[in-house]
Amino acid sequence: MDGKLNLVGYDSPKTQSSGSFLVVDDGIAEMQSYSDKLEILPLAKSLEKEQWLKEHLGPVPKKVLGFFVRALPDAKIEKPLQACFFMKEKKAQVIHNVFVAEKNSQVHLISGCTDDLVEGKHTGISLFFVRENASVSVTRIHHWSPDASVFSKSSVFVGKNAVFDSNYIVINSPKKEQAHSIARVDDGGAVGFNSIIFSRENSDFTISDKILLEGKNARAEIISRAISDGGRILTKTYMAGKGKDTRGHLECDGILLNEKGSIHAIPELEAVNPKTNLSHEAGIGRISETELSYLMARGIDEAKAKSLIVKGFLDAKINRIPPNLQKAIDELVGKISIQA
Amino acid sequence: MAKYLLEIRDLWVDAGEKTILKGLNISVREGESHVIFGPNGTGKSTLIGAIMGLPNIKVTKGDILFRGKSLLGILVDERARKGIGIGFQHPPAIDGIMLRKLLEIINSSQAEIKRIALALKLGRHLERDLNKGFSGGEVKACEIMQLFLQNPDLVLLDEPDSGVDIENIKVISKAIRELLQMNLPIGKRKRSAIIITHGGNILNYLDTDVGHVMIDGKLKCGADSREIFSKIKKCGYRDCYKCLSANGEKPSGGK
Repeated sequence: MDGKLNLVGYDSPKTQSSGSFLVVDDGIAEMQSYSDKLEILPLAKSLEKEQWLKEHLGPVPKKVLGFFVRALPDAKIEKPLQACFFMKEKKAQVIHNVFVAEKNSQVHLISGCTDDLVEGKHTGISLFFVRENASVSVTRIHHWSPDASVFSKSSVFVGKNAVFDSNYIVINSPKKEQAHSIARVDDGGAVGFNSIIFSRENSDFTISDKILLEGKNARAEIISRAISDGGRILTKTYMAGKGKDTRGHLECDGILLNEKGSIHAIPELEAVNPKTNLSHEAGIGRISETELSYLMARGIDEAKAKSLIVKGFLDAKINRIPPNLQKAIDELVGKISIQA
Repeated sequence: MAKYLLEIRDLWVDAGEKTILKGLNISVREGESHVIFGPNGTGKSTLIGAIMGLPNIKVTKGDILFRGKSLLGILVDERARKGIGIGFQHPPAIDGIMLRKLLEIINSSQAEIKRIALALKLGRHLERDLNKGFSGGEVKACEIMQLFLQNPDLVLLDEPDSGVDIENIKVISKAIRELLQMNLPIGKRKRSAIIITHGGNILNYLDTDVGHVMIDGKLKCGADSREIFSKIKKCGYRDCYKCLSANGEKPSGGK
């Protein structure tokens, strides 16, 4: 089990974290905060106190499974909170998580989802509230068995001058995954959605990222990198400039490693306010033959040259990669070089 | 031991749908540097690509021997490991591959990387993505730097001076002189080269052995490289065609 958890960023000696939260099947296996500025509770328990959540969560069962995390006002929590949702024996798991970063706080979350069974079905619903002037970075790593089905939905509320950065990495794609995220950004707030999807054969992956720039001076960037090794990937990215002086840029690029898969990118921009500035770039193709033969002309064999190019493709622009995420990306790239 | 390091016999090559090289011959001994002149589009780069084994270049007839053994059917990376190095005319810029990282894969000596980067004024480029935003001269210098670290026996240089300003031509040619051991007298040099040049400016700084003119997919002349260059500088390639006609050859591309 530990090996699987490590792959998605959940380390056992928790010296490098500010807290931990582990769900195995339908129960909380570990829950601990190592910082007095960071509250970690089972969501079911916090619901009584946090009545305001009801309108956001909608109807949920009394024994709702998941965390309620709150970084207290002005807390500067350097080490990340690590969370993991593991399906070991039970074939269905439904998670609801709520993450609140209070005013002026800074906090990081690393969250992994993985399984060790056949035909598991995972559903994850997350809510992020990033209050005024707070800053949150979230790294989510997915590593699934080939026949799993996954549905996830994240809603992010970014307050005034707050920052939300998300890295979403799928190392082993399941049979079917749908990942939806939506962020609403208030005055002066900023959102970055970065995703790396590696889709293997017989996998059908849909990622949908939406950012609504509602407040004045709100900013956003979406960077999506898709690699198909035989799987189908649909990336839907949408950005709307509603507030005055809003700015947004989206980029979706893809590499097809072979002819079995497909990548379908739909970048959408919508300007509602005349004083918004939105742009996008998109490019999908195979590994460039020119780049490949250039590297091979230096004596580098084909497999290594391909993995260098793919790693470069992933590294470019996603330059806030935390060190433990680098491990996951290295594993991904290593896998590609073996297959090349 | 083979008499020649590189020997090309009756080479016919297609690039895409078109036949570009039509029965080309050239022999290069150890330590010799050959220069190939020729108008644009005559197949100079195709020749270098055929020696290196680059994609979309197909040998249909003839053979390329390196140290007496055929290179046909051998992949690019293996040719490089056998001791052939190329300085590309238009190298790609590659996202996310840091120059230093590539150099370390080619050669693990940090001291050597530092020395060559400083000599070619690329010290500040090591932490940048390969060729990304480099100037024309920096791109060429970067090619020479990689060749130094690769340490090949046969160096193929495709237009090392195109797009390089006068100041940087001096820097690059100084490095090429060192790479090709031109400070040693002819006969003592070990490394061989084929240099392609359209403009020929770089020859003002290099000390090469043999010159050829590529016309109609074949190499002509085979004389002193400076002599050919001074004629081309004076009259362009017009005289080459005239000279060939006078010798009873009928070049189809000439005017």
